[in-house]
Amino acid sequence: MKTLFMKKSVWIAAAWLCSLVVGTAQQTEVLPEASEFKDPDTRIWFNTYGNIRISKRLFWDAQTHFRFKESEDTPFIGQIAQIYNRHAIGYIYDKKTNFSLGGVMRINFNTDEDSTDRNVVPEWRIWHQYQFAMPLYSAMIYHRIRIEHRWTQGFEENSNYIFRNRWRYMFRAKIPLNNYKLETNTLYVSPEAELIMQSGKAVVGSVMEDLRLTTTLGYILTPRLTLAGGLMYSHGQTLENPGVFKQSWTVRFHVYFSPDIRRVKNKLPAIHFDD
Amino acid sequence: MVRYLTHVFFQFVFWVFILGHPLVLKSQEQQRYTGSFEIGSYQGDADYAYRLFEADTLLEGPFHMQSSNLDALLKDGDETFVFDGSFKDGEADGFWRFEFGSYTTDGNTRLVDGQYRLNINGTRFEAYGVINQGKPNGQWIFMVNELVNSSLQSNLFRSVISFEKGVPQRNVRIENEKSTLVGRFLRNGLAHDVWSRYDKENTNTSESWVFDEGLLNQITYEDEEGSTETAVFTESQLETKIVALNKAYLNLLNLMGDATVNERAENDIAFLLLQNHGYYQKITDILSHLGKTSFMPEFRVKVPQITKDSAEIISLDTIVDLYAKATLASELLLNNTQLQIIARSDTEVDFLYKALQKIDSDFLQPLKQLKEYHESGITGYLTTELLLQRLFPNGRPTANITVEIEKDGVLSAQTFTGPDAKTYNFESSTVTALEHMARYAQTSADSIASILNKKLASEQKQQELVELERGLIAQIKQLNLVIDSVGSNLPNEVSKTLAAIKKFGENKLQAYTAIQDNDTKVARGTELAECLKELNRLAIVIAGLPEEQRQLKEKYQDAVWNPFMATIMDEAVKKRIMSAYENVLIPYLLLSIQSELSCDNTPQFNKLLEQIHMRMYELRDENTTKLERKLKRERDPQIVLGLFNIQSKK
Repeated sequence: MKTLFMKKSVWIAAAWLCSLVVGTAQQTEVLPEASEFKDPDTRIWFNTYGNIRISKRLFWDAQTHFRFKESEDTPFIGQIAQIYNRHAIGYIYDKKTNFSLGGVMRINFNTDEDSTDRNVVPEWRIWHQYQFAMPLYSAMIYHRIRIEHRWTQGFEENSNYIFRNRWRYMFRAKIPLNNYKLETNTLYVSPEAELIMQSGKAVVGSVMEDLRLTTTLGYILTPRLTLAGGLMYSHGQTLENPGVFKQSWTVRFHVYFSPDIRRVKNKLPAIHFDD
Repeated sequence: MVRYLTHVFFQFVFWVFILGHPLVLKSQEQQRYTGSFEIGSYQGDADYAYRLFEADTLLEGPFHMQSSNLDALLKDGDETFVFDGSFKDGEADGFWRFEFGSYTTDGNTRLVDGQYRLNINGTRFEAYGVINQGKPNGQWIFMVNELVNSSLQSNLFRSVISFEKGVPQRNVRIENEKSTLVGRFLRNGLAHDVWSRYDKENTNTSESWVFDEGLLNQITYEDEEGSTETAVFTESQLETKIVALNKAYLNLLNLMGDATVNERAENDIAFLLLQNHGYYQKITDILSHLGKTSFMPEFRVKVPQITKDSAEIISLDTIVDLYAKATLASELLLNNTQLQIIARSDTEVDFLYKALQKIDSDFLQPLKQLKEYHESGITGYLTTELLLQRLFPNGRPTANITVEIEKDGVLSAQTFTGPDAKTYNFESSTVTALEHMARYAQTSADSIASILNKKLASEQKQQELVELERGLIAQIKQLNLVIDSVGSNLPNEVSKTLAAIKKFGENKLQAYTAIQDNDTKVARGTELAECLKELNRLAIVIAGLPEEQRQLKEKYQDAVWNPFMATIMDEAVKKRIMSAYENVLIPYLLLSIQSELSCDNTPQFNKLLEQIHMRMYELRDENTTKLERKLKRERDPQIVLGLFNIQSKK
């Protein structure tokens, strides 16, 4: 299944590149002469990340995000745009490597105040993720590959689901500021960059869905609770027109929690994954 | 039938003969020992036969014991011995031979017929003769020879005496390298007739003792200048008693005669007799260790008895007793070096010490002689006048004991007078005079001893105090060092507590220095030393609290894997216990120490701290779910201590 997607996406990406170089004449009517950048939106996200240990190797990845988008009536905080539920079962390969597989149910709210369409539509995803961590001096570096299979629909009545694949790679660092390592009572700064590519029949030219550049400041309260906040700039091609880019500034707040619901005797030893 | 009866009869006779034979009976019970053996101070290898009689070992049969050590001989010389003889029913019986050698060697060896030969130099003492039922019987020969290169060089001593069941008979011949003594005993062992000694070098010199059935009438001494006759015991004296011719008798003769007797002692008859007696004693001592044998023969003489009334005899016993008491008091003091040192700086001690010395020399030494005479039984043959004369040849002592002492570089005479000096009379010619002397010496020695002992005790106390105070200063220094060296970055309450401990210690020392009386000082100082020891301990624990807490916190952590960071992090566990320790118990203890510290409760604080820390380490590994629930919001230190299972005194 995955290889099929891969093959398909590679083929699509290649086609897109060809169209850029060779077939510009076909789309000159649609594409602007130069990239157009829409005015940036401002958004506020409240994200919770749960990582609930359920056995020696498995954890339950539970994320709930509340995403607000500015509107004309409420300029800054805006109105609720999406409620986002991401769940997965994760497998701890070792201390620095883990994999997850699960589903997403996102509820999209129509933020267009002039729209007469439906106010709420669901969106479904199946996702899998591969995460690798590397220590670097006092900091940690993370590579995250996340692949999502996404079914979306518009707010119009009776609109059909369109299927797309998303290809995401994120590079992130966490650098402790007041400590020599990431541990309790440590303030850290985390620069991150994530490129989200997409593919699918509906995706004709807009393969770069989003490029997110974020800087977050976090504080490790306990090994089981971390709070963080940051600012993200992102931009990407609109699905309708690859020559038009949307932009946004997002203020993000994160709560990371990782309870361990195992019995005490099963917790020990806590760190030895290899035995 | 007849043949059968004859057969039975012969069989009976045969078995009775075999089983009933005394040799068989003996051999059945006799045992033999071969191995190392010890008789008094003699250690060597023995080989002897014995039998067990009612759980006792009874020597029976041949006895052999010897010791010789080639290594010792080659090194510093060897002391050897050989005892050869036999026993019968546990008593020496049969021919015996004793040999003692004291040898050295030049180490030159020769090989003769497959044997190493080594020449020795030294002296050899031999004694041999027959013993019958433990007593010498027949002729006994004792001799001491000098050996040079293993051959006889000279004869140093020789005595030949015949016995009949331990009683000396007929002629006696004793000689050493200087003179020869010839005498004779009656059949009952009493010395009789003329005993003459001839000088080997000077034929003009001779000495003779004339006995009459044991009673020594006269001593005649002859040399170039003529002859001197001394009457000893005259016939007019009535009652006589048979006594042994031994050291005590010779001592008595010494006391009876004039001083010139002593001067000739080196080779006179008395000396030869003593020498002979000594050798017999040596053999007696060895045999007495081996069962019931009493070898010493009975050389007998007669002595006229001086009638002493019972009061006098009791008096002599009392004197001996008083002498023993006085010596007990004086000897320890006279040999006390500490006292001699004090005497140099303390004139009173100097005076008393010298007085005690004089009591010792003027009273106790003569009394010691008297004691020896009394114990050897010769006081019964001496008149009190003679005794007094012999004991105090330079006159009797007086109650006023005058000694010379040095004060500020000037010598002056000072007189010591003992308690109730006037009640004593040393001048009478009865035993009472001696008893008075003994009593006076004893009470005087006692009174001096009580003063000197007090002085000694006080000096020792002074020494003790100096030592004690040196210790106290060292302790307070140590306390200050501990507190001053902890650095300034300690938590406030810890610093305040340490300051309180320091102040407390210094106050205590100040209070101590204000004490005047030495006895109180010793008592308080000892207490204070203990107190400072505990304070030091407390200060070390308090100063170490931050470090202790850090270690505890480290202990109260679990390693946890943080999935978001992908790192291992330490997580504090059992936070309520840690909090109770950190926020309730320790502040409570620090405040208590600051406000209530005393010498009495310091050990309790030490103990409590120790218990709390021990408990904290234990709780880390125990299941504490219940305890943690109970500790929630608990601020009362007593309750927390109770929950921790720690007994607090308060």
